[in-house]
Amino acid sequence: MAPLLSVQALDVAFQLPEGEFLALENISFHIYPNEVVGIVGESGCGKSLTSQAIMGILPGVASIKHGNISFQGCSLNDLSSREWQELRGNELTMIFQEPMTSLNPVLTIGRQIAEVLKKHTSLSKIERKQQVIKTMNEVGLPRAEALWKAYPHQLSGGMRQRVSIAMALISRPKLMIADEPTTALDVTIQSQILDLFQTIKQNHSTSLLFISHDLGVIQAVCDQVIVMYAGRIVEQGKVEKLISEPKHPYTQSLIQSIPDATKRGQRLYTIPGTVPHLQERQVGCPFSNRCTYKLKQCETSFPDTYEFDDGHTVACHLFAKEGDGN
Amino acid sequence: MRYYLYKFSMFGITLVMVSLIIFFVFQLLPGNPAQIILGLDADEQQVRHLEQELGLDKPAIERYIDWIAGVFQGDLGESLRYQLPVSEVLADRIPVTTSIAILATVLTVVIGIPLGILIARTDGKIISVFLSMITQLGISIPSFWFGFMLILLFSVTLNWVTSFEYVSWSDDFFGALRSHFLPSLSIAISNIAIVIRYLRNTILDQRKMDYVRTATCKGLSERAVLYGHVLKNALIPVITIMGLITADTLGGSIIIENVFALPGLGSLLIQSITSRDFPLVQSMVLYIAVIVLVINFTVDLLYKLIDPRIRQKG
Ligand SMILES: Nc1ncnc2c1ncn2[C@@H]1O[C@H](COP(=O)(O)OP(=O)(O)OP(=O)(O)O)[C@@H](O)[C@H]1O
Ligand SMILES: [Mg+2]
Repeated sequence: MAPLLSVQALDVAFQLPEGEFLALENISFHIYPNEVVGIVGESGCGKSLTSQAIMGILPGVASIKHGNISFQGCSLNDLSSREWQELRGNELTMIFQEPMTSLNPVLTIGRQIAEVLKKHTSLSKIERKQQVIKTMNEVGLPRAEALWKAYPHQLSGGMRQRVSIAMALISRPKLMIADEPTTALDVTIQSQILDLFQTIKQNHSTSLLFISHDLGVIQAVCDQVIVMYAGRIVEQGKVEKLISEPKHPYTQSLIQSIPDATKRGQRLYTIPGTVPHLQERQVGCPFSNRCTYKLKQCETSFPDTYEFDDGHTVACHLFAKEGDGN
Repeated sequence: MRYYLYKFSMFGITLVMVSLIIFFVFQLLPGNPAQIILGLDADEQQVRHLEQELGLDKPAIERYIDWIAGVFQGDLGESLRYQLPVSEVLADRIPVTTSIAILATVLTVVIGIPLGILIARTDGKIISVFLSMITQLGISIPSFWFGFMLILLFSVTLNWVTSFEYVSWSDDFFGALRSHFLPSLSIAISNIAIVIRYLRNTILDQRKMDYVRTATCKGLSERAVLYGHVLKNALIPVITIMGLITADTLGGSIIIENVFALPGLGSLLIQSITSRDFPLVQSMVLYIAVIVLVINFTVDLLYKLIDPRIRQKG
């Protein structure tokens, strides 16, 4: 089966006053139809940047330096703005983290959701409203008729996030990207929204790219996981496999820091140290200064990617076979 | 409903405060009105007599109460200089200033808002830098200079307008339009520049908001995002600026009225202060205070109309 989305050897650089810095390096992955892929990693690893590159909404100072992104077999690198408009909100949609600010404060909820249909379909006003109300019910927004006329500030964070999901879902996209859709919500609401994603996964033939810094959340919804660290993919594989047999020391630490009932009462594990800033990244493996298994080559070269069964891959010198030597 | 009651009582309290302040500040001004009316060589007897006639010999509190009681009955007193009821003097002047102000405000909106949007749309391009420089000039050059330049251009160079005599609307509509247009334009130029810069900044600020990214991700074009999402948010703070500008012009411009020889409130205010025409000055200041309050109230209403977050709280 052909992948729906292919990202191949993608490099994204920031043009800053201090110079040019690579924020994403050699990012490659595929998303197949109906698949849910997660990206996990600490803050600043480049998760949002990856999603922005796919949506074509990189900040003005960032640009694709190398590599290719293709969607349904067609390269997105040099789409015209008109072609982007056709694609965005239609086959490719996105949900953002901040439910408080990602809706327009002066327009009604109904209008904001219906706008997607107005842009991408030829439905009449009445048909659009019917469709919106149907989708609002589907994403668990009760009393849709009343909410149609409401403004964002009248809704709770969880409801606003449901509105964002409705906007992303209403056009029956091929791929939805959700960038930390539950991070800004409190825990009970968070699990309700995760349930909603589960339902969407069952009822719709859409693929989902789900971004989170919490591997526990990723585990709940994803089939495939990509672990990112400092602009690189360090490990990827099937979610059960990656969690039961993590290869990369960074993935192991992430797993240790998932909150879990059996560890209740103990202090939650946090990985010592922080992700190096964009301007401070050096040659070698960026995780090496936080890694307990550090080898001497970790400081001088970034490891190759090693493959295990079932497409499980890892980029770590610990898995270099004899004689690979670099 | 509670909101309007609250607004209304604030309205009343502010007016009472303003009237008290104006009345007592004028008591402190040096110069005796009776003396000024009669001239410096009048004898004491005559001055006393006139003071009695004008009620100036009564204690200040009593005169204040008389004045306010009069105001409530629609009697603003009599102008010392014109020997006419104040209301009549004002009724002559207010239409002049008001029509100049309305015309200036219309020009400001009609020219300022589209240009503000244009400058924001071309942000980063050469043309935007050029337009920004022009608006900077528009703000820093005083309006009377524009007045002189417009007179020079239209009467001396182009010979379109031959005299600057004031024509009222009832006499000759087109003549009136002509005599109002240049003063309004001179007042409007710097206001237009202010609105352009302000709107440009609010548009550029709003463009950085998260909801803009959401709108882009729906597939909307840059244009649709600007007109459908950004503009309404960006115009909200512009209403405040427009309110300030309008209130300011409704009070009359002393300099522009002098440049164009207009019989408006600005020139009247100066004349009545120099002649210590207290009843007239007091009423004019009170009028200006009422204008400011009414404009502020209108701004509040507009805010409620356009911003649902404020509408809720009411
Ligand atoms: N506009 C910008 N200018 C300069 N650097 C930026 C900009 N936006 C992002 N970065 C840098 O790019 C890197 C990746 O950022 P990104 O937003 O993708 O991180 P993230 O993994 O999504 O983190 P988070 O969990 O905080 O959302 C970070 O090091 C960040 O400092
Ligand atoms: Mg992010």
